[in-house]
Amino acid sequence: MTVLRRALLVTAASLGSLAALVSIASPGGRGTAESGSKLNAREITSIQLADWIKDRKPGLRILDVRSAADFDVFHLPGSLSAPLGGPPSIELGKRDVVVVYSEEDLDLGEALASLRSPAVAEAFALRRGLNGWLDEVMNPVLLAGSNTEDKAAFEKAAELSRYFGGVPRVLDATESAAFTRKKPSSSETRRRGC
Amino acid sequence: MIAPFAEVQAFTEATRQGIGVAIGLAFGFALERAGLGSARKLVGQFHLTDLTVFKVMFSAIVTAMLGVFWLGFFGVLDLSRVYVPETFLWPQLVGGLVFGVGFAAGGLCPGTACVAAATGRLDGFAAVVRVFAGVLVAGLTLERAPAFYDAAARGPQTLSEITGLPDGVLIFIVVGVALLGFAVAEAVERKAHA
Repeated sequence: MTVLRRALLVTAASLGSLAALVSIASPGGRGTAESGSKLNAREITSIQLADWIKDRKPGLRILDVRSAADFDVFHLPGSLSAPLGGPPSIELGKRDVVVVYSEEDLDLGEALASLRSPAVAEAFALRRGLNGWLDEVMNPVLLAGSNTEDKAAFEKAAELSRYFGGVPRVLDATESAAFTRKKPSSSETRRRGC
Repeated sequence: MIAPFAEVQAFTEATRQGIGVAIGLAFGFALERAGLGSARKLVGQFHLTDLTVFKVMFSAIVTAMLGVFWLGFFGVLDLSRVYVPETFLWPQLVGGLVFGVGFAAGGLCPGTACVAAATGRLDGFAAVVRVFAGVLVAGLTLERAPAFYDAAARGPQTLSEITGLPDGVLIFIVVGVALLGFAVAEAVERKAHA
């Protein structure tokens, strides 16, 4: 064995050992999902979900309960198609954190019953569904005369929006007066992969 | 600025494409210099007479794992922006099986087939034609069998999420397995050539 190969082997072993020590010394990093089995049904906002996707929340499973055709037109990054009433094709684990969404608000209990899944760690419905995502993440707007709190919320939404390829807009007084949120349609939105 | 630069819009589309071509050429050059453009060398893997493929691939895995982990640790790489392909368990198992059979029978995988073709080997050209034929057949048929195409969808999954172990501990285990594998591979090759 040459000196170079021996040095490479020792380097790999050292960096691997240090990686283990660093991970153990700083818990809370990726791969430390809490396990649990009690179903806890709640709602989350699109901004919260965008944060989770961006941060690669351990165990996150996003399920689109609309029809497969609607899913093909547009869906949230990393989501899987699980149409209501369709055959269950998605296996969920007890450490999964499940977020289900439809076009608008949905009945979380009905959606989970349709999945016929064993208990997962947590389950959430996406508030306002896909339309909420399109409004709050893909097309966030700051109206003229907004207060400091709104501006701070917009800054956070704008950062997430740019991450997901959205278009945040700051409107002047004239635009703000004329602004009414057009109800977006998923069929009008360019399909985007993750 | 933090990597991955393509994700944070640090480069124009043309620059990104140019970097992709450069990396592809470098990858092909490295494969050729490692001797992996020769089907005879690759098939030696299956006859346990030449385990170069095993050693090259495991070296690449260990280098990438350690590089990604430590770049993330020191804040040079934003791991939340690194794309993790989705898992579709059954289709990917079948795909892996088909890939393995094709690799063993033809002596080349898609990457090495391109390298072999680029160096003028006729078996390389034949393998490239088979690769594109396979892609065409899969593209035309798989979407007609959605029950299989989407079977056992698990979303983007990492070993950390499945095992609950921290990334660093998993890296330590993989590095250990690789180093042990290198020692076994060397012993097998010595025995084959004795």
